[in-house]
Amino acid sequence: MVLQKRLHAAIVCKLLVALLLAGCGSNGPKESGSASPAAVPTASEQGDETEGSKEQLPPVELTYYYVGTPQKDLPLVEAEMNKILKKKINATIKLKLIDWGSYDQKMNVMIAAGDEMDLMFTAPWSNNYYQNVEKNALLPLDDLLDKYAPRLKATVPAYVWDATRIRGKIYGAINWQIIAMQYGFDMREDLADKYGLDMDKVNKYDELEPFLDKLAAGEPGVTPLSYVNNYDIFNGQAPYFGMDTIGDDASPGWLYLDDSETRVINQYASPEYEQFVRLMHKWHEKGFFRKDNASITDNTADTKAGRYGGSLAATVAPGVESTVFLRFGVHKKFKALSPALVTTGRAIATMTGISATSKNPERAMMFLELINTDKELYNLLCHGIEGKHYVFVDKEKGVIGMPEGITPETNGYAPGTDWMFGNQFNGYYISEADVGNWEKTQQLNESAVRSPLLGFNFNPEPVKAELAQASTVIKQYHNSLVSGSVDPDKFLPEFLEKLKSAGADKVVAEKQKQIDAWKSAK
Amino acid sequence: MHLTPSERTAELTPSQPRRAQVGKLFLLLAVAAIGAICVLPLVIVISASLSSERSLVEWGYSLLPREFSIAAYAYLWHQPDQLAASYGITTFVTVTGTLGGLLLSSLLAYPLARRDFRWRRPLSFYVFFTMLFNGGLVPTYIVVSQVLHLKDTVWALILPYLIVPWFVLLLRTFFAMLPVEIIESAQMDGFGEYRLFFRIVLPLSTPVLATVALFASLNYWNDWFLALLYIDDRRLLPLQYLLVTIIQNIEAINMSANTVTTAAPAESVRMATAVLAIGPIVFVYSFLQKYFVQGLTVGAIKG
Repeated sequence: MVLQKRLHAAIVCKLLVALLLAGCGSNGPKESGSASPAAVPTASEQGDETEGSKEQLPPVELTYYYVGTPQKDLPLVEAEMNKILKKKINATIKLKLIDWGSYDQKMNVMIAAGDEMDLMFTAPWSNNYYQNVEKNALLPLDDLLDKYAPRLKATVPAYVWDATRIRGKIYGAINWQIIAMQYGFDMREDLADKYGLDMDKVNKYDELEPFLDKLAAGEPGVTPLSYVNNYDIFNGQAPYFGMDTIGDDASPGWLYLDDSETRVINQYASPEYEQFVRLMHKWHEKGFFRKDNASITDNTADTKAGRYGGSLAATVAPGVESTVFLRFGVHKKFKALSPALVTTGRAIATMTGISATSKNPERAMMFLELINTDKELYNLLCHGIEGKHYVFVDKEKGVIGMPEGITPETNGYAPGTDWMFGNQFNGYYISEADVGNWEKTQQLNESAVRSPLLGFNFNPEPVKAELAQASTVIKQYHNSLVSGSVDPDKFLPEFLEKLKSAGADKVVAEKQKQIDAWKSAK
Repeated sequence: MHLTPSERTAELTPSQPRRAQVGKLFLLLAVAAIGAICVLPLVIVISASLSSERSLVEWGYSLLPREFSIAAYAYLWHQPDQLAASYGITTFVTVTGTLGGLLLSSLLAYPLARRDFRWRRPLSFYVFFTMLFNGGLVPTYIVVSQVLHLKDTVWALILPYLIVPWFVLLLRTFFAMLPVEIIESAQMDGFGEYRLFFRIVLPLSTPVLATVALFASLNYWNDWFLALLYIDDRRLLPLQYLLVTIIQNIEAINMSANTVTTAAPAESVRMATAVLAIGPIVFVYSFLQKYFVQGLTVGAIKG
């Protein structure tokens, strides 16, 4: 399950990166200078030291822990940032960039030991947000946001702020970016063209079948659909089935998006599940999957080598084509089949928190306001120093590229994690092809369906034992069923029977209970 | 008549030769097979590290590189100063830690082995107790970082492993086996405790010292966990931790590929890091190996 989570996180991450390519569009980088001293709280409310001008703020140093790959020129970027920060909020920042593999463990120990720090990257999938709140490692931000970061507060819609709330309080500052996820399928462009697949005409997976038939017959060296057993193609795309997950995606108990009474149902007993596993079984029989697909854990190498046609339950977002090409070296077409859905997990996928051990939470919040509104500062942290780490390809549109003679390997600063630092829509595009993706993303965010559970967090504690038992049963049966490698006529009833005796109904009831309580509290 | 050694043997023991040679051949084959089982993975790792990423993806591992490429090493080499610094740190930590640890552990173990030492039992218990119970990760971290203020110093990589209770007990057992008579006669000759220890006891204990030195140096050489906890300053990163992070970061980059960073040669780099990590320590192994078995069994008899 951990692996699943990780993969999920990785996919979210991937999409976020796709999005970071989006950058700013409409406003253009020219406004970058205008990031106003609104950052410095001239303040709606009267008060302490913030009342005076910024020169009167005592100098402080803020430490900012976040995750990424090591950057050689980090000290240079830090020094450049400090020039801006010194001027605007009389602070300096100490950037503590921790490697991907160490971040969780390191933060865990540091938080437990009560080490002093000011800002930290936190999310449900990295440096666990919920656990940090439970451990009282993060400060509630509501007052600080209102007082010191009014523009940040206003940029992000209220319903997204609500998604961060735990017992009514905001503990993480949203890094504003794509929050709507869509699912569908992808197919190698050459194969789609060769066998006449009209992506626009496909609205359901079933409709792919004639094309897949032709593909399977015409390309003996290619398996039409890839499959890995650690990415759940049913539970991974709940919106395609018109549902949303509650708690762990695979745990029993989902909810129909259009159900006004928010009734929790067992997704494995739904007609959608039965139809889907029957379709997968049929396709498996037809040879659209590899025969041993249920035991495949990694398809990266085979995808790179072009041994697969496409995949199901792919996440679709503006710019995903170029991301996938960069990762696999294969040109693919994508088609979203599900509505875009905003869920709690997506909405709070990346946040910056202020540590409870911070001596200067006000200044930390001022920093957050600046990094989210000052394009110069934000892009410094995202892309480094102009002329050294990037040059403008098209300043008008805000497109940047590598300086001459610099390759990705020799670039001293290219963290590539814009989605972790602030309002991504203030960033530059790093490819001409991405121009306009920001508007598309914005539209997607706005038009997206909001899960009726947005802001709700399931507490698994009361049904821990049942969840563990159900999870064992699900691993045993569901993976085989969803891979299509076993006959649903025989195994689906058996699965549901076992799931019932494992206590699935109790889990569903507990979810219902918590949702009802949450609804009435609202 | 001129005879080769084997012919000579054959002449001396006429009834034995065939059986002996068949047995010998069989033994040689068996040893060769075991040797191959040990060496082949290493050869494959080295070969994979010298293969192009594409050939690994396409055909998998092989004994000889199908497409020779040093891309993986070039990738690791793109920060040569970091790599050199890390080798330096690791070497310093390993040498200092091993010598220091050996000295302190044997100074602690020796009195525990002496029957005339009054606090032998409580002190033994104190050492033994820490093998079973310890404060746990967070308190240890607090002591190192907030009490001793060792964060981002090279000492944070050395001090925590300086005295390992198991090594102390190993040493104590060996020291206790030294004949009491030697110690008594040295004392009668007017040796003081220090002179006795450094001139008599330690020279007699080379097997166990070599064993502990080997263990301790591997301990230091292979460790990256201390660095994970205590080191933020990249100039102080030990080799193993650097390699761990390189691999983890490649995985993270490949998971979230974007236009800035091209996909890194994950498979071959993984193998190249393994080759680098084995590094000089493999020679320490063969150098100390002859003492190793003796020392270990000696320790085990009375353990």
